[in-house]
Amino acid sequence: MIGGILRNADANLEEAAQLLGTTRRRMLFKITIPMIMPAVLSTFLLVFSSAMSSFAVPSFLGLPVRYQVLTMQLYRTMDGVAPGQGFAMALIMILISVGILAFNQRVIGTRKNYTTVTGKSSQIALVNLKRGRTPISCILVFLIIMVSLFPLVTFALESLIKVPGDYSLSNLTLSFWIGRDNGAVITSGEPGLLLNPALWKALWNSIKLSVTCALSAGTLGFLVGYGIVRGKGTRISKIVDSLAFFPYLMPAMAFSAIYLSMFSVRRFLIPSLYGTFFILALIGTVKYMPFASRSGINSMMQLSNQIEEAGEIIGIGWFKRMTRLVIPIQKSSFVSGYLLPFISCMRELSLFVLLCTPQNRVLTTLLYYYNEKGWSQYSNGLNLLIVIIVIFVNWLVNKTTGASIDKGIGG
Amino acid sequence: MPRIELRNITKKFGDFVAVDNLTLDIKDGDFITLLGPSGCGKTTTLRQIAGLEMPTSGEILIDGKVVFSSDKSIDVAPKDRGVGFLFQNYALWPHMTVYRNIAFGLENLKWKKDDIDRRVKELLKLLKIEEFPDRYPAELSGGQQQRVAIARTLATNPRVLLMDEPLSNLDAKLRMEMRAELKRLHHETGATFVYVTHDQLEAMTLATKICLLDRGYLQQYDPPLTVYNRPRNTFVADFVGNPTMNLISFSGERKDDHSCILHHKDMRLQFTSQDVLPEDLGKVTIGVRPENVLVTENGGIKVKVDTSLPSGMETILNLRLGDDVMLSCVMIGSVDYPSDSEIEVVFKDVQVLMFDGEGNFAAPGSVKFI
Ligand SMILES: Nc1ncnc2c1ncn2[C@@H]1O[C@H](COP(=O)(O)OP(=O)(O)O)[C@@H](O)[C@H]1O
Ligand SMILES: [Mg+2]
Repeated sequence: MIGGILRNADANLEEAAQLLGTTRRRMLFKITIPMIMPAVLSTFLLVFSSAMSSFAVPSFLGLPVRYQVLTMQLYRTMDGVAPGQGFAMALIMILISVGILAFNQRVIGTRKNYTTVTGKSSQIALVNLKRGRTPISCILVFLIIMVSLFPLVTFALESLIKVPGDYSLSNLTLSFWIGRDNGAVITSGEPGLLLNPALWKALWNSIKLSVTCALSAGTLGFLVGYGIVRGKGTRISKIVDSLAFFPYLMPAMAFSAIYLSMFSVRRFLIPSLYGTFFILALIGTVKYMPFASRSGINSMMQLSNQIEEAGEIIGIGWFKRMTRLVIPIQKSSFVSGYLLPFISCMRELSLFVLLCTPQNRVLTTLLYYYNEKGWSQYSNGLNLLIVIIVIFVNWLVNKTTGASIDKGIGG
Repeated sequence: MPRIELRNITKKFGDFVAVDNLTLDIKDGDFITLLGPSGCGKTTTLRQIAGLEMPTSGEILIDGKVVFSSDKSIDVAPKDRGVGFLFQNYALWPHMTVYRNIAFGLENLKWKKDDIDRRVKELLKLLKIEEFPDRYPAELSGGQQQRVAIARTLATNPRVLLMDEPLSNLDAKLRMEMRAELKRLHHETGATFVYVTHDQLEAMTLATKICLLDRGYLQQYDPPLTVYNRPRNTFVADFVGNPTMNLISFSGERKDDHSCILHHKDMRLQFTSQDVLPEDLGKVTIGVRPENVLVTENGGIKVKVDTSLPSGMETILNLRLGDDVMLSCVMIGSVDYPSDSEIEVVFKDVQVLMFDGEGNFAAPGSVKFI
């Protein structure tokens, strides 16, 4: 995100300072940093709030060392002991998120408006790193390997060893992947991952759920984005704009707590939906719609109204305008609008963990279950599988349509 | 007050040549406009003078001092060239007040606080923005932002002021006002101004000299009236002036050094000039400014009125000459000829220009329809 901010910053602003004989140091502290500060702060707040509401990371890393966070407490209370207390906690989390959002709005919406001043940003100045280039590239490549490739290797390795912690060759086994019965090594005779019906069922559920969410969130999001941009400036467009973004800011688990309370018992004509595929699909759709509507908004903003009007004047109907003009022109961001919900859904835990029952487990909740049981080989192997599926789908879509996740978010 | 010299400046972006072997001598205290269609290399030229862009080859001198030379590997930093730069989109720092924007450059020069205060107040007054020192740029209108940008650029007393389409984001009325003010500023500061624009009217009204570029090539570098009356080629003739110059192609037949007969279909006319005409005529182009097409009672050539566009002060007539030539004509005052009515016109003496087969200026002269 910060990369995007720096890219959009108008190079003229720095050139103007350069011409007035500003030193490098002064340029950094008086021009560059203050200029990007709001955006950086806003990124910081978003990261902060998503960390606040994350569940998966602390529960995998924090559980062994008893590092309790709010989401874990929430899960425990909701899952049994004291649901009332849980709802109160959910409410607190929502309030914190709203507070962060409000603060963010205040930071951005000051007198020093950062967007209206620049007309169009023209030149992009590339910094010539000269001799620093090779070492800097090396360090960056190293960092990328450390944070992206290294965990995968670890997952793979950890899923192959019999006794955790012992990395000798004799301790390696494939039985967690293809063994029929691992009772000898751990627990209740759980078959190896690839032969495990629970895994195949969860995989099927995950894919079914992700595809459903992607289709509904993607389509709805695109239409919402279209509506917001085309109705730009009207009150209703502004309201829809902020409403559509709201689910994004809701901590996932608090969000699902609300769904749990809303749909767990029969009300009026709506039967109890707890444990059904429908409720998972519903919450996924709502939660991920902001991604799709953002990418819909981004792509529609780039598309001049006149392109569509030109079609309208010669009598092309709305549906045909969409399928023949708008969507083909913005194909790649249109596809990202589906891809983002799909991939987020594939790797989502906190949103589903409260609502899943053993019957409709998805991959991530199965992973959580393995982890809770302490079967680290299984959870590592499953983790690896999820990552591979996500990467594969992104690659496939990228290959076939040219869309990719980063384009969707970058905007 | 410095002179700016560009010597054989070439700028390539990859294989694309944005500025092609440009040599330009800008005299002390001049107000130069770099004029040309969009993408012809005006901004690139200006940025090279400022030092924001590095020429691929050539030499730039400011005040007799080499500030860039590809051969001698000299590249003086922008801040040491003594130039001010006015950006098209103003480039005001959004997080600083008007006062701080203007004071910033002076602080860099380590001026004393009192001196800075005095200088900023002076500029606020000069540019008529005394009321807004504490506002942020986003709280100003386009015209006011423009004034702040000018004040910021002038604060350090640059000897050269480079401006990149500074008025293009303003509305028509404000643009007129600011033009007059820039002219006043040029007079008051005595600095050398280099001004980029794609608007030929702006270039005509402001400049002491116009530098007309096309696709990176220098087309003409002369005072506005010379460019207007003696365009070096048909591109210049066509680019400068509104409505555009009438350009009609003929085949020529030389009679003697000073006269020739021109044909176009069944139209025949005699061209006479004070100057010696080119040896072989072949295809030539005749150019007549619309204001030199005069409506007359008798003795002219018959034309048909296509449209007449009165605007109060003047009337533009589009006329059909024969079956394939359109002529435009500007008359002072409002007259309204009905479409398809027939009138007679003559071309004003000595104001008719002849261009040779390559489109280069050949000779001025007079024509008579025969
Ligand atoms: N940084 C750049 N990289 C590549 N091409 C450029 C760059 N800057 C300008 N150009 C090209 O050089 C030509 C001249 O550009 P410019 O000087 O900006 O034109 P203008 O006369 O409209 O100001 C244009 O065709 C433009 O596309
Ligand atoms: Mg330009």
